[in-house]
Amino acid sequence: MPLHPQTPNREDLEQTWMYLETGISKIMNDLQEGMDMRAYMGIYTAVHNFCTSQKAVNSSSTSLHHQGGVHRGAHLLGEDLYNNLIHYLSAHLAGLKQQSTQFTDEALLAFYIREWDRYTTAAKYINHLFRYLNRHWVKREMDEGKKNIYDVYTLHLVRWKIDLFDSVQRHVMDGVLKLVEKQRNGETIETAMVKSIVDSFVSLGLDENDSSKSTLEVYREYFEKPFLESTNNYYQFESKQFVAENSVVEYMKKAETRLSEEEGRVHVYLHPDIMVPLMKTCQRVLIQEHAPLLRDEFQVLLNNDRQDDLKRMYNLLSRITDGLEPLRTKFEAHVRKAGLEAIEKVANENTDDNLEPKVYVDALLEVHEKYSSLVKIAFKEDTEFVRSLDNACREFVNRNKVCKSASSKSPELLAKYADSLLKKSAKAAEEADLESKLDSIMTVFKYVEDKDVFQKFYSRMLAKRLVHATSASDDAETSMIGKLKDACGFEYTNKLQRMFQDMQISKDLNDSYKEWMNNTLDEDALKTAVDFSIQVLGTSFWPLTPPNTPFHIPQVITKTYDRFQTFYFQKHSGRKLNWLWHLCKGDVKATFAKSSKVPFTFHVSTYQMAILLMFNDATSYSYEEIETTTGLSRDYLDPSLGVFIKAKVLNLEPASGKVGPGTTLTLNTDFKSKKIRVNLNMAVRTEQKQEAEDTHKTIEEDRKLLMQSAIVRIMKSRKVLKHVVLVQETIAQIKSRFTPKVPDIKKCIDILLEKEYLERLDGERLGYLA
Amino acid sequence: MPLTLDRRYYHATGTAAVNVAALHALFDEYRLPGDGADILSIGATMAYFEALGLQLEDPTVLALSKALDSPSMGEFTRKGFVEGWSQLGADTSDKMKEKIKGLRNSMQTDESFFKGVYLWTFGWAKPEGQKSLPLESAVEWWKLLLHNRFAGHLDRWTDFMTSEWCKSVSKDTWNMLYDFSKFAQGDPTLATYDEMASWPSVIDGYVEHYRGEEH
Repeated sequence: MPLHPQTPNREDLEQTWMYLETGISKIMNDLQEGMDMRAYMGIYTAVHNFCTSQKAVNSSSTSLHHQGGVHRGAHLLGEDLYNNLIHYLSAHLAGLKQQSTQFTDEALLAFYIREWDRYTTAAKYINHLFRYLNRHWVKREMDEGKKNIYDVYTLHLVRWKIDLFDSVQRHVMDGVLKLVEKQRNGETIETAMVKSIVDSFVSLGLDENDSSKSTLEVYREYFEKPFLESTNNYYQFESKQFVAENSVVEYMKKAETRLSEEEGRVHVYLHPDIMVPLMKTCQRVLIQEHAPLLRDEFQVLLNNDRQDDLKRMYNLLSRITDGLEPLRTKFEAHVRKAGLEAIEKVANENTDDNLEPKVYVDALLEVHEKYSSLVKIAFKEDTEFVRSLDNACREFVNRNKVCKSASSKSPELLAKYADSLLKKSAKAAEEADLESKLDSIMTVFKYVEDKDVFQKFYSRMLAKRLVHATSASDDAETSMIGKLKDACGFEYTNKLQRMFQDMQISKDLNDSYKEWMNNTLDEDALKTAVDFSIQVLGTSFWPLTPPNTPFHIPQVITKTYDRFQTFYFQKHSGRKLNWLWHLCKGDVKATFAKSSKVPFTFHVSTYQMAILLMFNDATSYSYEEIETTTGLSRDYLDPSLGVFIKAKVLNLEPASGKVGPGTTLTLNTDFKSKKIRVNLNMAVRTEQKQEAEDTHKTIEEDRKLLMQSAIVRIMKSRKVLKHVVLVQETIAQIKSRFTPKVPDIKKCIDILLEKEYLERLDGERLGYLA
Repeated sequence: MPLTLDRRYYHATGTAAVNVAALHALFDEYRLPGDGADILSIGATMAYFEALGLQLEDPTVLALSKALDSPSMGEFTRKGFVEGWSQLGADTSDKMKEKIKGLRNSMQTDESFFKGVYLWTFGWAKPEGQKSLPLESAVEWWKLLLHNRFAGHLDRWTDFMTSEWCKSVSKDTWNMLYDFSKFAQGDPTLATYDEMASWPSVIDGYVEHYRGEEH
């Protein structure tokens, strides 16, 4: 331990400083050798003594800024000390600057870091020793608002910045950038060095207004800026070269790796503040500048279903502004094309008439399924891509080759598919399976524009299922109606639900009718009564039309007919019953066949029943006789007879002729059948076709009414509205059912003007007339 | 001073300036034997028009009918006749001829006056108790009113109505055709016609038809 001079005279600056300088220099240069308590305390005391002495002896020119040999206050003494310290530091740093010129690159970094550590450690000690100066003279100066006066520690940093940093930072950064480039090129580097440099640069950022705070200004200017610039240059060069030699897909992989590497770099040894600008720089160079190239590849990837690469492209382009916009348009066009092609294929393989609803719906679903999973997996369910998918699906669901003949073909086929699922059949679907199929119907339904057409066909077919008891499951029916209700609201399914209610009410009605019969009829009458059950259905809810043929009710069932009416009108006076004979059916026992001892049971329509019952009285009738007795029009009579002839229940004479006037029908007593129960009640194909046409016709009428009532509703609440606005609002209201055309709406407005529901107030504005 | 004020007042309203008794007398002069006490029937009206030198193919007939509050074609009531002429300020045939000249001039030069007459015509011309105007009479009135006022579209419009539309004319169509005639005067080729705007469908139909024929 070297000798330390004695504590100096408290008033002699020169002496004091000489004493201090020895100590400071020891701390600065040889701190690792340790410092004893006595020396430490000595310096501390010397500073204290000097600052508190009343006057100082001015005996030497070493005193800086000396104002003459007058008595000075303690604050002026502090200034001398402060200035001497500056002088010392500058000299020390000038020495370092000189030394630094021997080093470059990593050696320079090592030198800089070593000296920085030594210097800042010393600064902490010296700051502590000069605490008295800080507390009094520095504090006072700062309170008085003097600029460029810092506490002793900060002073060290300020001097480092001015006397060393400003001239070496460029070389230091060169070293840093070379090191990082090495790492980018795949070499291992000592990252701790870079981190130390970053920390040092950050420490030098001092807030001019408040030295206790730090700013990132120095760091940003001398580190971040050159770092970003070199990053930019590096990747610009690399990516250009890479795309010239590799495929786009390879490039995307490369870019992905590079981006994640840079991100990792920030976490490991850079300041977190650089994350945003660094990513921006990388994204600009690696993505933005190659975006056209990437986008050109998009179609190729779509065509080849390259889900992973599409995901990669999405991730990359989603990082830049407006990067995805052109992709969305391409995606939409691609999906639409895929949908149209799928339907065209199906349409070419089947003619319009025998196109299975299932085949059609499956084709729609397949395309939707494929691309919705792509959106999910590759495009992160991006709302914009979901919208593009929806737009495309809406297009190909409503406007495709199958819909060419009639735009309402899609909802019609969809409703028919629903019917095929909900109807009793041999290959009934499992419950869970059925539920998912109903869900997939809803997927297509969502895109159908003519929801009213679907409603029409669906309710007709539901009516059939209910009337003919061919519905496979009440639960499935309820579930489907629930889905439709969720999608379109209460009004849309109201009638469907009422149909279900009618079925329940009819069940109860049959029970009370039976009870009524037991109470009112005598035993004989009960014995001879025909087995009978009935459904009473509300006309306004059921899409059923009254029969369009006259019909003479056969004698055998008139009693039943009258009896039920009596019962019903007792219960509900004032109601009217329309008998829908064309929907009724019954079983008759046939004992005429010689081949079987057990009588056959024929399952027949009421019209057929009327024909067969005639043969209780005779075995042969002329066509005209049957026509007169049953009262049926030929449209109904001929097909009914046709079934009997085909099943060989009746024989036609002449045998080769067509059933009609002049022919005779005779009971075939040689009738044979493997089954005891024979179903002869078969729907006639022409009838079905007619029905589809009728359905389409009523749709047009319903639409007019729907538009008119929407217009009236809007005008009723708004009172006065511009014509154009009214048209828009009407479209908005009706859109959920079908897409109305503007000329059609205008026609409806014309009608309402004429009917004086509305009036025209001037050229543009319409008013509501209550 | 009071005198000046009075004169100005009389002049402005015209009521005091006419001889009401003379108007009643004139009304009675033209009334035919079969006519009611307060009505000029079609025969009387014809004779009256002839005396005034008013041709039936002159749209001024409509302006005068409106001014005299004619209840229906060719008919005038005593009340309408007397009050109308009082309002116009004429009580002799010569003064009436002058006033008719004024009406004719207004029909040609005063657009809002013309529009008033045009719109009024529908209610006057349509058969009592009906909401619309039979097509044939609508066509006649259009020919009378819109002659030289429809940018060359008059014949084509009436042809379209008789051969394609074939239905009677609603009040809205009648009224909007005035707007449309003004529109056509501004854009005779109808290039800027917007079928999304508030035109009635029949006019949309006409424009579509017209464009189809042009191209």
